[in-house]
Amino acid sequence: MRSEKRGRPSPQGTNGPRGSKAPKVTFWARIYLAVHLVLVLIPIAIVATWSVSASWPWPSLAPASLTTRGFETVLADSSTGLGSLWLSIGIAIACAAFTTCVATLGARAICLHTWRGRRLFEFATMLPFLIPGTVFAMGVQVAFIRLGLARSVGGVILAHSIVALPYAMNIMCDVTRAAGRRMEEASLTCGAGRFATLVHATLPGLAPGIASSLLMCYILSFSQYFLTLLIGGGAVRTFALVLFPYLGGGDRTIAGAYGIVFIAVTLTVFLAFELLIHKLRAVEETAYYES
Amino acid sequence: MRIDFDHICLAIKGTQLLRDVTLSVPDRAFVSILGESGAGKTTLLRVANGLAVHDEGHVLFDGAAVDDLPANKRGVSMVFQDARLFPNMSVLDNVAFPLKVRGMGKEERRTQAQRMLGNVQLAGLGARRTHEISGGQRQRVALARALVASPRAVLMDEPFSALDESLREDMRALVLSLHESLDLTILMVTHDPVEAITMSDQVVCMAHGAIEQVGTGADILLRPATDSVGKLFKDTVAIEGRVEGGEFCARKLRVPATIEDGPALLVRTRAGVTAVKPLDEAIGAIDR
Repeated sequence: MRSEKRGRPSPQGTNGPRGSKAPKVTFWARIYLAVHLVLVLIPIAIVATWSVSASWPWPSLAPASLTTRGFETVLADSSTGLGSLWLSIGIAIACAAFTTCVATLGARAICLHTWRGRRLFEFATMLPFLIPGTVFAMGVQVAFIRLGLARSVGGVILAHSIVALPYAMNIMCDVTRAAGRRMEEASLTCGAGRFATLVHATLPGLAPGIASSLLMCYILSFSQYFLTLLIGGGAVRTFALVLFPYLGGGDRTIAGAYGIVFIAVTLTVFLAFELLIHKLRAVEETAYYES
Repeated sequence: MRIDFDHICLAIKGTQLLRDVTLSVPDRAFVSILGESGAGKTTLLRVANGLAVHDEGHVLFDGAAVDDLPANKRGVSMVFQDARLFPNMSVLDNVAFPLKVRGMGKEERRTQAQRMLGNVQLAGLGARRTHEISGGQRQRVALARALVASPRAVLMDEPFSALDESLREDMRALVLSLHESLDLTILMVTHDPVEAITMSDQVVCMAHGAIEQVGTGADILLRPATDSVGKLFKDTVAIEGRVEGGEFCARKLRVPATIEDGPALLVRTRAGVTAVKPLDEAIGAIDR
């Protein structure tokens, strides 16, 4: 049989570990995994139980009686129920889309072009990482009040985007550096114009990073509390904002129900994006980042 | 199509990559650019297709300057060293891509892409994903993609360097047969001197961003103009061919020979001494 030198496989490409035997899971790895699962699952189980408990007096191990009051409140068609959930989802989607667009363009400017002040710009995009959240939020609040963006959904989306930008930039810079211009050059020499190159070469190459960035920004925005409170000024009532008083006020049934819906929505989005990223990576591993 | 480089200069970040390069690639010729790494070979190719912008000079296609034309409008296609197939498309869609961006209908471009896949001996593999084919097959797909839209010229950047030797031979034969059947101008970059002298009508030797010598394979082999051209043959090379009518022939290489017609071996030593021996005699000498 004729031997052929195959294209250089990526570290996790088709010629890599996929075909090799998986490493043996050690005893300590199992223990570590079990502890990890317990630390995550037990709190969720307690929150889930509280969400349907009418009363759960100490020291009983199980609730004395059950109720659907918590979920009825959360899923009620009101501004504190489903209304806040849809608002949160809308803000998170808008934040994810806007931030990822900005990060994609910014990463391209940083990674593929040479210009004066490039390093400074790159550092500036990471500033929200370095400045304490409360200091940042108060500074943003003052600026947004002056700009007339405070107490508006647009202002909250913009504030969330500023917080999410360093994460998105990090992801997009990595993926842009890895993809480079290789596929774009191939597309151009095939006769494709700028738009066809963008659609058929650039975006497919960046797709795994774009999906990761969208997911990260969505989760960051969906779980924002302090910044939403400060910028929204109580006029923009997101799901996290409605949930917090129940936690402080001691109504654990409603707080538990809010918590479970919060986790369910986040997990659903997370799993959907993970599935998408996994699918895109299967393509990415094969050829996008071969040097 | 005739390609002319007229006094091309290019510097990037203070490094002079091309120094006053003037070169003419005749219409329908197969020309190889030979040189060490960093000689400026790939940069010259990128200047030709518009992926790199030169500081001085002009690039002319059939006598018309194309300096201001973007890469996608120059009508020349490229085969890259690393194939660069689009992983989000099937093999057939990759080959059909140049036709798609030119606005050809789906059925017509599928038919043409399938025909071109047949030309590169990959008929029946169109439905596969690019990661499901071997390195050699990928390079053939890249070749089919470069040829499908009937380009005015094809530029090749070390197209065989990622393949093993047996596969390289197959690919060389395939490229030469397509060059003849399609009447193409081909400009190929290589660092393999034997590949350059046996495949090309003309060999261009480059060093440090400048052209050292332009000539036939025999000129480069027998009469290197500079030491650096002679040193491109790092080791002793042996080329198998035939002697016919007082000439040793191996593909496009023609070297005078004084032995009888028949299978022969051309040997060039590291010191630059060249000899042509009957193949049997050469094999016998090796056996002893």
